[in-house]
Amino acid sequence: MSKVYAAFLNCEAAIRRTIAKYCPQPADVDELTHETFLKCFAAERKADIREPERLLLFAAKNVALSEIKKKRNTTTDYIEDAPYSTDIVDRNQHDPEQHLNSRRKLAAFTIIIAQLSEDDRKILLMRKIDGMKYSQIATRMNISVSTVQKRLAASLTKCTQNMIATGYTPDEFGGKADSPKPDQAAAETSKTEWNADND
Amino acid sequence: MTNEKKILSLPTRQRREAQAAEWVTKLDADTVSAIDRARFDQWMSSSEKNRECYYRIAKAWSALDDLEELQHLAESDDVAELLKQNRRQSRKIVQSIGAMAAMLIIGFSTWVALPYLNTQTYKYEAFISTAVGEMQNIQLPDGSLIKANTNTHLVIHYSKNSRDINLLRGEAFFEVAHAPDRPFSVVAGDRQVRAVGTAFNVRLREAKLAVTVEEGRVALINKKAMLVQNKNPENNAAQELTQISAGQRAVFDTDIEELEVLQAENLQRRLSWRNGILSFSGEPLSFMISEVSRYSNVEIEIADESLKDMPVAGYFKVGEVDAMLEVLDLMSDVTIERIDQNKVRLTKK
Repeated sequence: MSKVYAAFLNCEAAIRRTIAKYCPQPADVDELTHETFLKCFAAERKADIREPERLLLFAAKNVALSEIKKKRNTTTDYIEDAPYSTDIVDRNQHDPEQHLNSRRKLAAFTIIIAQLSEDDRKILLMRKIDGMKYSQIATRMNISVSTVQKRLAASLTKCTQNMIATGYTPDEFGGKADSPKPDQAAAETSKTEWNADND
Repeated sequence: MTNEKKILSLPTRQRREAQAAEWVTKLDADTVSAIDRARFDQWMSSSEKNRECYYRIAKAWSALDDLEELQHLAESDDVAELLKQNRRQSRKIVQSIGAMAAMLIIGFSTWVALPYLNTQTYKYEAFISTAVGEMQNIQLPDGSLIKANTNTHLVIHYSKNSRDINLLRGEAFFEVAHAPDRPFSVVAGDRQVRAVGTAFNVRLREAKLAVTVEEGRVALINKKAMLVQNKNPENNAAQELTQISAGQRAVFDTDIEELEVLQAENLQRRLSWRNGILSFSGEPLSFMISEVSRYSNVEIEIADESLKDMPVAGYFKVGEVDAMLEVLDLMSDVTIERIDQNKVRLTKK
């Protein structure tokens, strides 16, 4: 398990309290808590985190503060109110709803891979983030190519199960940003479908 | 999970998922053998459920590609800020470890020194060491005071009949409490400076001892010279090379090499380091550089021979090498060339 994730589990309540202190809207607390975790987990890829709990709380405060700043800006100038608004719309800009969904998914997936063992996570991310070949990973980790494949298969099984448990359906896995987030009921039905898969 | 049937089915489902995951990761490898491909085709065609499961797991595998976003996040400014904070925290840990080590050392030395302090008040031993640029005041149990200058090591050894200070390196100023029955001596190798109630400065430099007296009188002694000249070591007066008094400065080793009488103002200038100030008036540039260098790790090289004797004047705070260089640059025809953080070269303009 990743150091940051272990610390996150330990002090999630404190992180939520920190965020709630700055952001009075309870609906945002979930998102910002996940954002806090994502940032610290990303930081863990870059350096050894000596005091993950303190870093998480520090990040929570920063995330909450920058959210307030963003909120203030959006409440003061509405882009639709600006004249010639159609001209300023950035075509490459993501729909905020889409962005939120993909962010939520990233947080969910990150929490899932954070639970893998140190080596398994390393191997998976070498493949998925760094795009390394199995043979390169094998050399780096000093294991055989077939062990790399076996470890990846084991991680994949775990991750799939956890994705479903978190409410993500295989159709959503595909990760097209515009696929709507299904409500809880839809997730439930798909889960039962698979459960019925028996011989 | 209320249905009993579902629970029973799980092992089968799990096995199938594990098989599917094996295939997904095998097919994603650098090369896929023909045998594997044939086996895969067979596995897929053997059951509808296998196919369904394979697609589900394959979707999950490709969904994990989204993790790439983590890398973008890792490169973001927000994370850079977090990493900065992380480094600060690590430094704090290192610092607190350092502080703890220092406390242990202090605790230990107190524990070592305590028996001496308690049982016999006149017995006292200590080792004093200052780093480059550091100064330290030491208050001694008899009321004497030592001010140790930069980069100085000295050992204090007080006993019933004597007060000995062993100057191993550097420079120190001594204000000696009057106690005629316990002579106060500063020893550096064979050389010795003996005082009764007085204030004087001793500097060990290139195997020579420079002594400046501010108050009272001190005797300069060299034990080796004494033996060569076959004098009786028990006879105090015979041991002495000479005595110097307030306002005098002597440099000696086996014999007196320099002896000068300093004007009051000049005397204070020589001792101004005690207040953290270096003062020069008409000394050669090379002297000023060597004096200033004692207080910092910056190495200053005078590249032009003719510059070395150039007379200089100025008044600097100890350790302010940059300020000195700035003044040199402004006031004289010296060019300052910064080679790196710890090296500076002076040339003629």
